[in-house]
Amino acid sequence: MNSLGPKQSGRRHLAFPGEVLVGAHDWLIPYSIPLRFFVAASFFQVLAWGLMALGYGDVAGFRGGPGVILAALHALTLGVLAMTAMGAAYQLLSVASGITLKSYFMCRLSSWAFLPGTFLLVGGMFHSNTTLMFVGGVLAVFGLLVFGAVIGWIFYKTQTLVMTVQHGWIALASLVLLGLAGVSLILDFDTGFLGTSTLAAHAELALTHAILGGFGFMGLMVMGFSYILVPMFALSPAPDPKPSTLAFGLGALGLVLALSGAWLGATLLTLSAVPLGLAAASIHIWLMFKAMRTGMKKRLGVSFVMVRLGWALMVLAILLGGLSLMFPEILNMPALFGFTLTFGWLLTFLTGVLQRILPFLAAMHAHKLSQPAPRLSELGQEGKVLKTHMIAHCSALTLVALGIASDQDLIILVGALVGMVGAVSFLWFTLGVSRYLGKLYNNEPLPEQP
Amino acid sequence: MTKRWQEDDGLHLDLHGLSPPEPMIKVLQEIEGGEYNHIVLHMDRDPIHLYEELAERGWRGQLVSHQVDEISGDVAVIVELSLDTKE
Ligand code: HEM
Repeated sequence: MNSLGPKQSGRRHLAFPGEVLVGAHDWLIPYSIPLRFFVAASFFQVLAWGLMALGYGDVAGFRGGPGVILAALHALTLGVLAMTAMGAAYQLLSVASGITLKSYFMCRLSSWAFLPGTFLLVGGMFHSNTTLMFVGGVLAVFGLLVFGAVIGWIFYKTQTLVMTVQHGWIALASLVLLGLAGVSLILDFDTGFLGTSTLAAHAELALTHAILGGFGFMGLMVMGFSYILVPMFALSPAPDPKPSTLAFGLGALGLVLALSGAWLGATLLTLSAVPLGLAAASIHIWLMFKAMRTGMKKRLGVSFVMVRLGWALMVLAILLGGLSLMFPEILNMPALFGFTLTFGWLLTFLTGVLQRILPFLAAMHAHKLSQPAPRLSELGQEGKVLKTHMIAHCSALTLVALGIASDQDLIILVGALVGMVGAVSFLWFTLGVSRYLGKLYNNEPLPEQP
Repeated sequence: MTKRWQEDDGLHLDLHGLSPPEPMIKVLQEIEGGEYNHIVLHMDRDPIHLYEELAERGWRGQLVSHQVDEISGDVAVIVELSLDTKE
């Protein structure tokens, strides 16, 4: 038995009139809910790099349209990025806000729609099958909307987490528009209804959709959650609200300008978002570094190497976004931008965070069952697995980016295969946590601790 | 605002209303101050993350009460921390 476990003593302090005693961990979400998203995200990461390897000849010249690269892109954006964000939000929001979900049905429902929906959508994109794409797209968007309703309810109820909630509302609004745009783009493949009357043309809507997904939904979500995660892991006070609000305001304004410009096909308007985005990102990163510097925990490990790299790539992605509008013909800039935004910034940051969240999930449940927190070795990795992932991931990013910029398809192929190796290591890590949690709840013997 | 007072059983900290990780930081600052070897926390959630940090510092924690107000849904948790003498 663990001496640190939450043993209930007989002592009772009456705090409220009419109080009831509940289990101390009733608010702890069943581990299977976040875990299914994390395991699925890890599988989709392998699939995303795998599809890129398969379509390596089309990466550098990719400018949209169905096929293997669009499939790889959505295996990543929906399968890994949104999937991870959903699991993390479900796991952390109740803990951080203290708001208990009355039922977990909606969380489960979102997974039942989103997981198969994403799989079908990716399959439909791969085979250029619009019916499959439509069914998958509608299911995935439904799953996302259910998720949005759950976290929207928590945002509405909580009195705390001000910065996360502010970012969260805009991220949720972007999510709704993103879904609408995605489904419209699919319908347009067969009907060609876009571009008539006041509707934006297909290419404009595709760019609007990409900005909504990359910066609006995922970008703001990731930035908002950083206000919980970074102080939590670094053990530092919440960042100063004034610069935080300024960063948020600049970012939100930049997003609106970028979206209006993309919708109207007004390049200068879209470009005007770049300095705003850069200013927002710089203030955000400065706040996060300050939190890490002043935090009580100094050794933040491999995961924070990834998180820091993610921040650097966020700035680079915004810059490349501007350059891709000004010089689309140079260095295959649109593809370089898309790759840096998704596989670069968002994937690097989220896998860094997931490395911390997964052991935290295991520790919370071990604590609930009065077991000591597991060591990393018990979670199926001896440090080597995550280091392999980091090295492979960074090498893959460098190789693919070089390959795109120099139009060398073979370099892209090697990069994608190296990325796959990293993704398999990450999957091994996730499955290790999953095995540990299974044993914990099935009362199977856990490894002895010294 | 953190309320801080002493009783026979040691230092008491009222950490209600603080968002994570502020309560944890306040507690660890007290522990690292080295003045007390028994601290009682009054909080609005079980500080799961804290137990690991305590272990690293040779302390241990015990949840002694967890109550929810039926009407408002507010939570009140009491956790006792002590220097682990077995170390
Ligand atoms: C986090 C979520 C998402 C992100 C980050 C994202 C990102 C992107 C990006 C970067 C593109 C390429 C844009 C271009 O062609 O210029 C794209 C295209 C596309 N996306 Fe998404 N997407 C997301 C979700 C969805 C969803 C849910 C659907 C379907 C319901 C969808 C359907 C499409 C379609 C059909 C295209 C092809 C447009 C074209 O080039 O013809 N996406 N997406």
